[in-house]
Amino acid sequence: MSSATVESFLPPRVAPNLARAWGGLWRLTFRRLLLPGHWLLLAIGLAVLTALFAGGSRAGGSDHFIDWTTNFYVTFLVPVLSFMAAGGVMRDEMKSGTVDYVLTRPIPRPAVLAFKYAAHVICTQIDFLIAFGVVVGFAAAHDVPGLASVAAKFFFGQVLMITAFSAFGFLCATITSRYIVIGLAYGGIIEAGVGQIPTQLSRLSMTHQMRELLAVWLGRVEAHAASPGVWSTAAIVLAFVVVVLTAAAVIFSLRELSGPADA
Amino acid sequence: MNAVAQASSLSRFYGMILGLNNVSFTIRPGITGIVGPNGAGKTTLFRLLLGQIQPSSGELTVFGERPWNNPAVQARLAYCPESEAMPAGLRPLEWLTGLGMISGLSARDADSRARAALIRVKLGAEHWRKRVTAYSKGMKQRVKLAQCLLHEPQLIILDEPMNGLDPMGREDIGVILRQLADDGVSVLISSHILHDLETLCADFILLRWGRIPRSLNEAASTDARTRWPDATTFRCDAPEKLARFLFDRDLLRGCDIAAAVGTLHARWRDPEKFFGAYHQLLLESGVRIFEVQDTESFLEKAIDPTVHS
Repeated sequence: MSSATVESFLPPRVAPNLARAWGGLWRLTFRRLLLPGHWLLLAIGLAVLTALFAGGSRAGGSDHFIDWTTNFYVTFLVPVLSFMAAGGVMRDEMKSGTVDYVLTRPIPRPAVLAFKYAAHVICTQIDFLIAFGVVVGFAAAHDVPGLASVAAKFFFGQVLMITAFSAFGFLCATITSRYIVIGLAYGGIIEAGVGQIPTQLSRLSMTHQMRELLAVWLGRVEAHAASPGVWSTAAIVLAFVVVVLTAAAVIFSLRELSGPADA
Repeated sequence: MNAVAQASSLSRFYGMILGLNNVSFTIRPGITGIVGPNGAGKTTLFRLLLGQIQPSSGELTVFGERPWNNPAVQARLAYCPESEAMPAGLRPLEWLTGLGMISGLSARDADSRARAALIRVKLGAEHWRKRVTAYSKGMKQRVKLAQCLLHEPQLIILDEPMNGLDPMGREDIGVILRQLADDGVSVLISSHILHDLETLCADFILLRWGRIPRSLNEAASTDARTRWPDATTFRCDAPEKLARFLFDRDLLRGCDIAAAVGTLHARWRDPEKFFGAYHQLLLESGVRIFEVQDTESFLEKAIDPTVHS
């Protein structure tokens, strides 16, 4: 076991390559989008979303529609579904069927997590892009003034919420397979609790950040000195993503992937 | 030749549960069999070698380096797990190409090597359009072996690769493993089908309750494998006559006769005395012999708890 023996082994016949590894993980992730089961689920989701919009935004005019879309779709439904989807993907990634084939290959675990997250977020953005068509359709039906501008702002919010809550889903599923429990606790304490406190503490809530930005941006409240800007909101949400993904990468790297059941 | 992997006083515990307990071993190039009952610590040993878990104590090196979370070691390894879980919705070429790219191959190389690997494990091209989750157990074993071959590893770890394979399939896998060994690839294989291991492996590591008992491993040593069997079964036209003949010469310690199927199960008093004059004795007996078979393989004997308790 001396270090002198290290040099006498042949080098690997295929050198590890992170760019190619990203390509491989992207292929394995993207293929899920093409499954018939995925399209069926998406179709059911769109039908439910249409029913929710038809019921929830029926009363009132365009202002009610904007408020409802901000509070229900962008800052509740999108974060919850993004969290659930990302947590599910990461939980599946930790199962032996995937772990044994991917994590036994020469790719650092933080890179696996980052690539998997990037590939998953791209796929989720594509899925929600289709769902966003429902939002735009209902906005047109409500004669929302400046439809293109409003739609662009909602879309910006949707993209950021998917990015943030997918990262949080990855973190929770890296910690435990019961990631929904952590998600519920976080949602109750930070998003529904701290996010409602009228102090700077509420900035810890990502959905609160987005609600405030959209309210000012869409003219639902008057802007003031402390109102959030587009860039500051984007920077805060992206900082949240970086912090959460870094924590997930550290946990994922240190975690041992087998239990006594395997012994 | 360098040892592929070496362990010294290696232990792994899961809280109060024992995985491996103070084992030392050396894995040399060639095909090495890992044998032991369920819960003996085989999968723990594999996970330690793969760098998926860390030792609780002791030292383990693979290709001269510590394997825990070490891509430099993983670049030389391949693993075929026992689990049949496979990613949903993927066809074999898609899956293997993706895995090949993760190992560092370009998309084109990964695709061509995936095709070559599937052909090598004799998974016909007519099956390539099916999704891997829809495969039979035997076909899954072939794809699982194929994913090990993509990046030309120097050590392949196979956990029960023969499960679900028919005799032809087991022979196919055996041929591939021997070819790999001839090409300088080391293979570490566990299987409950001991006869397959006996024909494949040059070395064995026998595990029981997380330990490598010396008596077991001596029983499976190269020296032990050259010893005469303790018992033999004959299929012949007159088993009673043969038993009487062997008893008269004080060769038998005991025997069982199944006259209906014409077999004599002989337990030897001194096997060397019988096998030393094997042909002459059987000719003198005047009995027509149709088949002679070792009753127990040396691995079966080695792991027999009644022998080593």
